[in-house]
Amino acid sequence: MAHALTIHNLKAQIQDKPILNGINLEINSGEIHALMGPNGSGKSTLANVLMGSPEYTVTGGQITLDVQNLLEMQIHERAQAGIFLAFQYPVEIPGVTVGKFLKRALETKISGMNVSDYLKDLRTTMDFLEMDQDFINRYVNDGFSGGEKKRMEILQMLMLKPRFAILDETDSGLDIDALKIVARGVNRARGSGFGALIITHYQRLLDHIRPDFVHIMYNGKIITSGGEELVRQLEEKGYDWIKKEYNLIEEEAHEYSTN
Amino acid sequence: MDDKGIVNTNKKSVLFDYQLNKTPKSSWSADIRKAAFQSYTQLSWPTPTDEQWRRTDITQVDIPGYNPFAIDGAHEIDVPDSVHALSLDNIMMRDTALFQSTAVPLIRKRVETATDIFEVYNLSFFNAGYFIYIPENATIQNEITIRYNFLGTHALASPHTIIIAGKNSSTDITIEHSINNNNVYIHGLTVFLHENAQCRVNIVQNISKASYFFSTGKVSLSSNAVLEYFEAHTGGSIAKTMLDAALDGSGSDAWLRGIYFGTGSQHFDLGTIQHHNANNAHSRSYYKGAASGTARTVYQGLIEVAEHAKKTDAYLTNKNLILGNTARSDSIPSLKIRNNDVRCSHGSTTGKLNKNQLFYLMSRGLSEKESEQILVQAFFEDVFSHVSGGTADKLRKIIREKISDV
Ligand SMILES: Nc1ncnc2c1ncn2[C@@H]1O[C@H](COP(=O)(O)OP(=O)(O)OP(=O)(O)O)[C@@H](O)[C@H]1O
Ligand SMILES: [Mg+2]
Repeated sequence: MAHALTIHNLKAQIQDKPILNGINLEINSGEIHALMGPNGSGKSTLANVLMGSPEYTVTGGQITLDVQNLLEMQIHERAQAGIFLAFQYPVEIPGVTVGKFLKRALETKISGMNVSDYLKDLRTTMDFLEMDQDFINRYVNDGFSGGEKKRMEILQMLMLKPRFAILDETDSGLDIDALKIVARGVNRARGSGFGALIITHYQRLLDHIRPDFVHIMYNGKIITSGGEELVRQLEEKGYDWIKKEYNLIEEEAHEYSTN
Repeated sequence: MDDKGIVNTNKKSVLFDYQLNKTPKSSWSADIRKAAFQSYTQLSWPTPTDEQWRRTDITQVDIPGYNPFAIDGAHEIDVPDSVHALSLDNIMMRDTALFQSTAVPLIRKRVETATDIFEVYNLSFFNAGYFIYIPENATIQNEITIRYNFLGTHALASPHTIIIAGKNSSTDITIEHSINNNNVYIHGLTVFLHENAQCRVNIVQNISKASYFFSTGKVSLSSNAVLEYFEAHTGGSIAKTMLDAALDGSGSDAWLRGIYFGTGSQHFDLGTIQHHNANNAHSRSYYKGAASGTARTVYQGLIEVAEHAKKTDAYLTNKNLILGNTARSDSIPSLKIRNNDVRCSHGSTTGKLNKNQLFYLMSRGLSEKESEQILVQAFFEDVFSHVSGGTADKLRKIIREKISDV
């Protein structure tokens, strides 16, 4: 079934500082969107606001998943509705094993889950991502290397089978082989029931996961959108080109002078 | 009972009742009760002006008003087949020579040196108890479990547990405390480890939420003995404990670990003393507690090093987790060090649940309540890794249930 995640004129702030200044974005099932933009432009903020992080205050706009108003849903309800966030910095949770944690997470979606089917699924998915089975009994992200944490996020995504996944710089810190494995994971999920927003700084991930749409965020706004060619242009010319193209440098200078 | 896995290098197996049928004479208990009662009459019940009781006010609990003769209950001990365990009732009925020669001097000494009213009360009114003697060189692989299960109404349970671990022996003993209704429970624990003995003692206190728990424990370690003590407190309206681990022999090693979880209006005040009386001894205390509702927890840990206890290595750690805005935890470490040739220190932390961890768990579909449950349990896991799987599972379940009733 086709679904749509729609973000309309979304504004959000942290403490008193506005970070998202009117985001518009629609992601449909089957589509992969890439989101790029300079450091601090608000990409992770958007990802966290979509998931319902209590750190941010939404000051305007809407987010809907089909007919559901996401902004009125709690974090776990959004997850159960099919939203998944692969974190830029996955947190370590000593004392909670991967196996038990994932089992509980799945049980919130599948009532009466068969435990042996679950374990089988977990093991084959780990094989697919070339992860050691020992991770099942390790504590969530505890002492994992940067790359192992990112792989753990993809493992969870494949197990939980979300409708929409937001991947926040899942490629950063990965060696070239791990990058391919992560891409393989996303490509496996790709299909008519799955949509994704892939936040990245680099073309190299997008060579493996070819996006249908590319968006550039700057100062909490999506300033331009296009196809894959945008990634190449950006790689060649850098963000200065975007800034010039959209007259953003003057605007920034202007902001400075009024401060 | 199960005798699998017992490696017993001593022919006399494990125990003390081989002279059971000799002349019954239970003068020891009468003597001890009398002497303890004498001390009891000279002490008074604590008030918040006593330093040890500053944070725990029991003036509204009329302890002598609880009847020590109205207590009932069915206690049991799980021991390997070759271990003949005896309750103090039995020993009182029919004296045993081994008990006379090993345990009685320890209890006498306790009576003579006792300054705590709960200690002397327990020794004058003990109405249940077990004596466990592990002979030299015996390795008991199966866990020995004592289950005190008291029943009463406005009654007072006062069991005493005596554990003597012979030279080079190795054992793992769990003591579970349970009582119904609104009662008072006063436990006395006496442990003596001979040279090179290795002994684990696990205490699981989950008495009814309307009852009061008090415990005074004394452990003495001989040279190179290793104690692994663990206590868990989840029950009781008020629980106040003191464990005094005396490192009396050089090279001895004491590990004191504990967890406590107060919900509702529970009040826990746990104390430990790492009492270094010999050279080259090593001790660690590691206590972790959580509190929610209007619960209050206190941990008082003391490291005391005698003048002649050179090369002492002692550390104590206390970590507290506060759930909500109305619970309170106090951490009161102190050091009394009478020589310079030591390494002693302490550390404590108090904090709330980690918001990023909560967000992470919830982002995978777990409700806020379940996420909290998981994180509270996770907080205790590093302590659980040092206790047997069965005990750890039991405690995990208790903790989960306690969170749900917050
Ligand atoms: N807790 C906070 N307090 C104050 N400012 C914050 C806080 N969290 C984020 N910000 C600010 O919000 C802005 C957007 O941050 P965000 O993490 O969304 O950027 P990003 O686009 O993901 O950057 P990067 O590419 O470096 O990951 C930044 O200026 C950041 O400093
Ligand atoms: Mg970011």
